[in-house]
Amino acid sequence: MKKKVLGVLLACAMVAGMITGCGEKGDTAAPQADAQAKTQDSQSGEAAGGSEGSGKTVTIWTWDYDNTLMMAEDFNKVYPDIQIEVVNVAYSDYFTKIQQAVASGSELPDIVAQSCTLLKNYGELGIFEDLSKEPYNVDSNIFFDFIKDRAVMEDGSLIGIEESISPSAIAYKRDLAKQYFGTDDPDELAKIFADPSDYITQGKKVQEESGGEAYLFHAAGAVAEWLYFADTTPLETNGTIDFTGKMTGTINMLCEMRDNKVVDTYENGTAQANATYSDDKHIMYPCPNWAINYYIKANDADGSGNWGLMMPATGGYSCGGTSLGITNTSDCKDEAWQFINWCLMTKDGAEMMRDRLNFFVPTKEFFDDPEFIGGEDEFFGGQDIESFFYKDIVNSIGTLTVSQYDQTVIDIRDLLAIAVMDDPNMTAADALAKGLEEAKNRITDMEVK
Amino acid sequence: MNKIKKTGGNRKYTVFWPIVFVAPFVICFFLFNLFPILYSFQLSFYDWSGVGEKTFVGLANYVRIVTEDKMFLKSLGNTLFMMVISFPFAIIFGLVISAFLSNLKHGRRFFQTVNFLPYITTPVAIGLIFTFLFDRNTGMVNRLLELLNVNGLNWLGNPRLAQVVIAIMIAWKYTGYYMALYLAGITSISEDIYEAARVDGAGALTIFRKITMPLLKPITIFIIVTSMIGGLQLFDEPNLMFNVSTTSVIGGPDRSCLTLLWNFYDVAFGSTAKLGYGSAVAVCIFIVIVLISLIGMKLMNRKEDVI
Amino acid sequence: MKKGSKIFSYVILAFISVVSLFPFYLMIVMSTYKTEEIFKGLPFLPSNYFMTNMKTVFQSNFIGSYVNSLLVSILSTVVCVVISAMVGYGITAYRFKGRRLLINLVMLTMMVPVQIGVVGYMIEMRTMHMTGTLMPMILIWLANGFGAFWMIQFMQSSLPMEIVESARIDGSNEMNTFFRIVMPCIKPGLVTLVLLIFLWSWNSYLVPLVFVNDNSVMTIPIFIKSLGNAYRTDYGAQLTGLAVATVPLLVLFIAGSKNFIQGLTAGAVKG
Repeated sequence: MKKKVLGVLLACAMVAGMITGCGEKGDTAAPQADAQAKTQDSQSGEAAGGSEGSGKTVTIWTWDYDNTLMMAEDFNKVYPDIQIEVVNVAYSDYFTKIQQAVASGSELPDIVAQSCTLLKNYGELGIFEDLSKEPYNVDSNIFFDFIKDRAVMEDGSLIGIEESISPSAIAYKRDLAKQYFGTDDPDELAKIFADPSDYITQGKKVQEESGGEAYLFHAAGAVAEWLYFADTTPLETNGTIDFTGKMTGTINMLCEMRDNKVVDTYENGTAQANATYSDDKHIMYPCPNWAINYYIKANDADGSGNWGLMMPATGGYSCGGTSLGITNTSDCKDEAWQFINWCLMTKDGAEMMRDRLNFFVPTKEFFDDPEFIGGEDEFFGGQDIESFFYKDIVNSIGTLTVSQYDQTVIDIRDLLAIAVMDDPNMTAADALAKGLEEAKNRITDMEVK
Repeated sequence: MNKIKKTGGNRKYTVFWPIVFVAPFVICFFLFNLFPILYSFQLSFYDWSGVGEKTFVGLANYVRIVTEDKMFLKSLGNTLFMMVISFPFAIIFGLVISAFLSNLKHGRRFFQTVNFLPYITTPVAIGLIFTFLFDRNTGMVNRLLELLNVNGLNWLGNPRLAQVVIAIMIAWKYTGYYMALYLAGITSISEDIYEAARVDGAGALTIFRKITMPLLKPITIFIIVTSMIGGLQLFDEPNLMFNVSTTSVIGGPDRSCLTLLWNFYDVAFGSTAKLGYGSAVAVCIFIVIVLISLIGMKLMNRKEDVI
Repeated sequence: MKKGSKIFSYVILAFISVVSLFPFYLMIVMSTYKTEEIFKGLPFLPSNYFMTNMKTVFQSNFIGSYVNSLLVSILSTVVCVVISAMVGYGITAYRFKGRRLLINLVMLTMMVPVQIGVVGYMIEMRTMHMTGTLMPMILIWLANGFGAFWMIQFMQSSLPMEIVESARIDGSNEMNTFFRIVMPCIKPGLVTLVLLIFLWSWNSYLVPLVFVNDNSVMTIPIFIKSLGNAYRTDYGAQLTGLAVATVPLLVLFIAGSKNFIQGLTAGAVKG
């Protein structure tokens, strides 16, 4: 019996040793790590597999799993020697995970996907290669003006390359547009919705005609996101956070929409809210270019031909976006850079991003080629959404400067959107006062007004 | 107490073997429980984001918690409130049902096991299912209410109702567990005592109040102590219910479901991460928990004689 | 007892059981649905999407995470229970200096959640080069306050010291006595603790949330959360994964239910 127990303990110790060994991710992968990599292989098809090559593996953490796999797959057709390991991390945990990895000293990925509203926060961590220096030598002036300074930190370093310029418009369901507004033509619709107040009048009409069933928008959070990014008032000026100035327009509009039942009560981003993309009760959705894959196609797979894109009354805006940066502790910076460089900085890569992801990389000169954009899109009922996004929308986008506190304020914005929808008696002034208090509580090292 | 003989003076039994048996626990305790807390305590006097230099700031972090940071007190209030409206319900409900059912002969084990299921269900699953049940537009609860011609409620968007949902979740999770415990306790009470009481002409209610409840006191204490521990550690379920999408708000609607630990987690690792400040929050939580535990044990009037 | 009230009791019990089981049932049923369909109707009856959901789950890192969760839970449980039983025996069978102090220490450990030391623990693990392994998720369970408290309490009430005494007189080595005589004696208590620690470590969420930064150390709760992409929560697949993840717990608890209830009673009743 005693021996038996000892045996068990010994076995445990051995297994424990194995686990510990497995974590030391060196060149000699422990058995378990190997198995992991294989799981990865079978999952990503050619993406990670297909080569013995240099044996270097570039690790990317992303919340945008499917798209990143596609990028890796096409990248490997050109660079079969470089393996790409894509790790899926929940968006809501992503920044936290990076910080924990930094603080706990555990291994960072080679490539980090930096959410645009957190760029300054990523910069503060001091873990990224400066892409404007040797050996990368990226001159950010080749990018679109409204986006070129986003990933540039105060000290002039460039910590990431934007994956997509994220022009944003409003998507609508064609059948419902015809039913309620008599047309599904984007230009005609843009005339009907020429001024922000038109959303109120038309939204009321939709409510009346449908007997209270149908709404113009599905979630206050989605509307708030659109209005926030369309409003180019900078959040930070000279060391002061102008919360009230930044949020007043958005909150006013939100309250008015709530009072007139222009927007339904779903909570943005939840599975329930996403399921409305395929129903017949919600007409319009603020739509950045990436939302086409993420939201519309993912949630309304059978809706091909029934979608259209129109100019918002606020003009075009740039919403969201992700930059890819290389960590300075990476042991395969060259390979990581080859991935970023090919995907985002070469014409071939740009075409791949366009065709497979509906993403448009930020380099201006690609767009000079008239062949680069344009063409009918079947899913959007034959509309030329590329030209629409990259001519009409891009030209109307103003530059939005993102500060270190945008993510904090965005969290408060979402909180207010929920509060406003919950309490019909909350006025815009109430909401703003509440938001200001929150902001003051969370932002301690700067003046907040 | 047990009746071990003093093996007088035999150092084998007063020094050597005790050390052998107690050492693994004590060593692991110092390494993986106490040391991290002490280290956090030290960190709480610094301003540190996890990278770069630590700056010594003295008591500044604590001053901020007490004077400026409304979130700590709010999270404490939220946690206590959710505990107070959920656990007593689960305990009383568990006790009453178990008393009701104690004289069933058949299927007791089966019912005990079935009612234990909520306790073993993964919090991730509970979070998902409860968001599904209580969603304002598509949730089953609101649909049922609509069938009864009652307007659906904004369960997950209203600060108070969100707390109620969490409380319902806790009550659901623990009622069956407590019932199983009480049932086990009642079973172990000798039938003779009841018999004697009945001979003396005591009614069912009197028997329950005068015999069952006092005899179940140890179980009740056990339950209260463990539920306090569980309640103060509340994190998984609220976090998993209100941190699901790209646009989720920290702490749920109006941060009403921000618990002590969630607040700590957010301060230490969230978007404005500060490990030093987070550690100070952790130390404050530690103090609160120790205080509440002491008060709880005092109230139970058995601080020392638990063992 | 009157027949009427007996039936009444059964009805109440059945009702409570239905309430207890309902979310559990929903989990199983919803795992057979396509996510979009879940929100359209009231999903009371199974649909036909189970295999597709299973495919989604198994195509991703599910098996790896499952193995990790098993490793973490089994190792934590075995070591924690042995350590707890040892300290329980140490306190029950001997009178030594610092015994009282140790008991108070155990009580305190039980009250204070390990999570609040997680910042220090993280730095400690970093110094010990254990981040990126499963060790941080295991080590934190070793000196479990509840485990020690439980075993102390259980042994005080259920371990007949006479047996130990007679073993000593027979010249049995203490280690020997502990493993061959004491352990079998306290089986219900051990089973209860095994089940609880396994359950808690299997469902553990906050500590893995801090330490899992890598596919190779992902555990089930963290894995489930990352299923689907950021913009389309794959409810169906997530619930399928969770249903499968609940199987080991179910098996354990059903297999151990007799001992478990016994153990709970003995441990809690005697106090």
